[in-house]
Amino acid sequence: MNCREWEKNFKNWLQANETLDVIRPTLPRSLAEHPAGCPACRFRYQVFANLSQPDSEPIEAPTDLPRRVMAAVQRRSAAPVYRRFSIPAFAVAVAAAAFAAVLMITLPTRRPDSSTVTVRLALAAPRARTVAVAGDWNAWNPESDRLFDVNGDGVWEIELHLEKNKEYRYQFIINGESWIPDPRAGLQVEDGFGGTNSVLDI
Amino acid sequence: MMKEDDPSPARENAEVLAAVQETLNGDTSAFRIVVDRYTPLLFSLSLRMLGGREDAEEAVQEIFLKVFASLRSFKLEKRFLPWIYTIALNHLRTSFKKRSRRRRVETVLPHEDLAARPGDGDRVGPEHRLFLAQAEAAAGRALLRIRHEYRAVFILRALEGLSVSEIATIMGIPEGTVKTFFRRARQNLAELIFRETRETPDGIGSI
Ligand SMILES: [Zn+2]
Repeated sequence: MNCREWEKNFKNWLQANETLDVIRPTLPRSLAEHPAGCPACRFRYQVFANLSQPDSEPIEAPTDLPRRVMAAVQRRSAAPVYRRFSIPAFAVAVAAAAFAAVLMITLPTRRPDSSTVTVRLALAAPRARTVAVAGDWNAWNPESDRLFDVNGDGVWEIELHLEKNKEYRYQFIINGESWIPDPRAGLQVEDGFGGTNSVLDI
Repeated sequence: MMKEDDPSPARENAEVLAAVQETLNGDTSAFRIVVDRYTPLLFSLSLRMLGGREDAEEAVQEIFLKVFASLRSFKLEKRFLPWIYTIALNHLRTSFKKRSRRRRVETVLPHEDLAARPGDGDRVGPEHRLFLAQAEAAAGRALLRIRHEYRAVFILRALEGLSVSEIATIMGIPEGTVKTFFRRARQNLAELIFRETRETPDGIGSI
């Protein structure tokens, strides 16, 4: 068997053995012979084996990492919460996104007999390709809550149903990469990474 | 029968939840229990997802800050572990994109000091250790080159040992999709390994 044949047979065998329960199936004898005499294929198999070995070498975190994390958390929890209104926020947003002419409307409307509140977020970003919002309610997933510009006026909107009596931090994501605070949110707090989170208090 | 020091998920969850409650009541130092418990797991996940130790340390810190900031939205009746994993993976997706743009991916091995590790000396020679180190480096680099979702599923399943249903919960996808992603991850990895070791004469270390 030469290297090319071995590659082909190895891939076929892999495909035939790809059940999830067998994470690292044993190489059959017919496939084990070639790598035994061929350093290149032995290396290839070793790379693959490394990818299939649970805790072959447990990775150890630096011992002082929890302490450093706590220091950052303490700084964060002590960070001043301050109110900021639309003019400076406007400047921040434009600097961050360069192209987002910005207008923001937040309309919490309480629905009777319900533990949730409907919140409408809007961001004017006429040149954006996509706008999404990530925050405490969606585990900061930049892809789960997208805004839509339904009528083509450059204002992107979303309605969220959030639990009452909670405070949510959030940011908009433009084109999947520029994270900006909501320029019109009444409350902005430092996010601990040199940026700013907007706060919804409903 | 339950022993006092029973490390079952339920009990572990109870301790974490108590700490979360105390943190929410205003005692930030109680958060240390959460940090101590999940740092090893988040560090190992971040290192595998990002490839560099410094990036992994930074990511762990940022993930915990997000967890801390989101505590109020965590539902106390739920399990904490999948929730923290979800936040971690969302963060890692974003930070991987950012760092890929910032600079070319350069892998830092978990075992860069492999040659100096005591204990192996009697069993394997330096050449074999180098061979293993190179293979491990190549494996790490291959992982960084597949899609975020495939990489996440593969790492959680093959390297962190989570179950298919746990991964489905964490990533918010059906179990069938987890299986598909796992299969594709493995195929892509095999493809990468062969493609990248094909051209050089000895085929070694060229991924
Ligand atoms: Zn060969």
